[in-house]
Amino acid sequence: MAILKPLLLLLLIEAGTVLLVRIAPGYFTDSLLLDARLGAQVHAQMQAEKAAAHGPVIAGLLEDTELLSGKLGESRFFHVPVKDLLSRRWKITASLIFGGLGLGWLIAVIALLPTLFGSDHLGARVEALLLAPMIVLLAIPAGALAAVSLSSGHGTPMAVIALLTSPRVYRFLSTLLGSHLQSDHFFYARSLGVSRFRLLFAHLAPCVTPELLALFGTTFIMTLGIVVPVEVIFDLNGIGQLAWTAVLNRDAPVIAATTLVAAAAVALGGILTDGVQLSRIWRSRHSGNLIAGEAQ
Amino acid sequence: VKRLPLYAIVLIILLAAIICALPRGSSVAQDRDHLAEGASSVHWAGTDGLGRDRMARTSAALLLCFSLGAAAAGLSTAIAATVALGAAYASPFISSALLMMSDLLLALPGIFLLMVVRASLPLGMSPMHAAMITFLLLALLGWPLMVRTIHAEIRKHRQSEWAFFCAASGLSPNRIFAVHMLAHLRPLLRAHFLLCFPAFLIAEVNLGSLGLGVPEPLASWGSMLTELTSSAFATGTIWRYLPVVVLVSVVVILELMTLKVNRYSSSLLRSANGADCR
Repeated sequence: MAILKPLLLLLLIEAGTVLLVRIAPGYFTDSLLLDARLGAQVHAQMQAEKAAAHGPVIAGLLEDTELLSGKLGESRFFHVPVKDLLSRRWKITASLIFGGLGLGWLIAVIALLPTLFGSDHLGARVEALLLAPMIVLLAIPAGALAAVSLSSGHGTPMAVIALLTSPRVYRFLSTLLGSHLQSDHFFYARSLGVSRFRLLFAHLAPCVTPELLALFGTTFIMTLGIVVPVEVIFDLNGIGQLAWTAVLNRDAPVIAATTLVAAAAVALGGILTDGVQLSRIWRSRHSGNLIAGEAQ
Repeated sequence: VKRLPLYAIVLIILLAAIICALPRGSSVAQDRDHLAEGASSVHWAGTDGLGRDRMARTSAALLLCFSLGAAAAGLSTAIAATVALGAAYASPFISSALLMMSDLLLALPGIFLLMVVRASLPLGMSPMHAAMITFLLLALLGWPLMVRTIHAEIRKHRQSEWAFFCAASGLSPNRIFAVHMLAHLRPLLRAHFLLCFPAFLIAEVNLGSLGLGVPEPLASWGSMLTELTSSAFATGTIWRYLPVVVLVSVVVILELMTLKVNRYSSSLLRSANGADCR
């Protein structure tokens, strides 16, 4: 079920995209038919040839079958195979997403260090100090921050992504870790003299791993959305910019392929997160069985 | 002090309305003698590349995005409540299908969906129609945000003692829902509205920065961002940041309102749970 659900999601998203692309005005129009230099007779001849080859519905279905079998077709705007376009651009997008996301998580964790390792008083003061900048960062749209960063000449695309993701990660981690650190068993462990470092890595980390995995999945999906305006505004040749160019030029095969890639990334992220979680549960059950066996 | 964010929002809207009502408050009138200029006695926040008053455009953008954003957030809340209600009262198959549909919409980055849907619209639409459709799309794609929470809350209330008591007292299901259930759901629906509202304003800005939001000559925060990214105005006045400053201020105020409502609804839930325990 953990694998089936993301795959079903992928299939539904692709079907929805293909449907939207089909109903888009002008999808079945050949650009040659808009060429004013060609006469009415030539237009009629071309339409007759198209109708003889296959109707628009069958042509659409053929394209869908090709898309789902991995043949992404040819771009109507660039006139090159979509696969080539994607293979040239995916590295830029991947490095931007993972670099920005990594930096965002790093900033959030550094901001949390006083709460985790300092005294309660210091943690509360740092949290109060960070509240205002965090709220402001949460209120800035990706497009606005990228535009301000570009026009002022400060900041890089990766820094923009990091600044947009870090407040969300910080807010979630702060609430999550705060609730665990205030719980009775942690007070008890601290009163027994267990060091903060040991408390965090030996006791807290295993407790919060599922939530951290879910948070990583959420921030990954969020970064996929942020990367489009960032790539467009900073003029980076990534998949986000390709999707934008395709939308502006109504390049249906590229729109369908980029949406498929985004949906596949989300589905893969879901499968990986669920897989890690399932292996964790399996390992804990397995070790539990071993302990029970030894006791018997 | 508690109502300070609300007063601040009302004050900002009033200011924007007054600026738009001034004789020089047209957001489309062009002053070709003052192109891409800084603040002056004629244009208090300068002009854009086409000589349009920046203050008037920012105010018009605020009024347009605020009214359409609020309408979209209201519609989104209504859809969320309807879907959650349908899922709570329908058969398990329909219920899981409705919840899965909301999961599906939540799973994909919204901007991809918006771009694809926006691209499938006719090209020859009037700017006002395009603006309305943009916000309508935001409402249609933004409703799943709290559907599961609202659904869980309805199911919880259906099993509560007061619901059994109402039914035993002979109240019709319609009356129980309209008078009692909605009153219990109001804090959650308000929270959904206040979460959607700033999210829609931000989404419009992101779409506008891609040239897919509210089209020209209508003023919107998203379309005004293009001035920042245009290299022709790279050395322009600091006033070009005015739309961003106003937008961020408005969204921060809305976030503060959301925080307040969240605190109120969580305290309400706590007291409700306490009453249940007693």
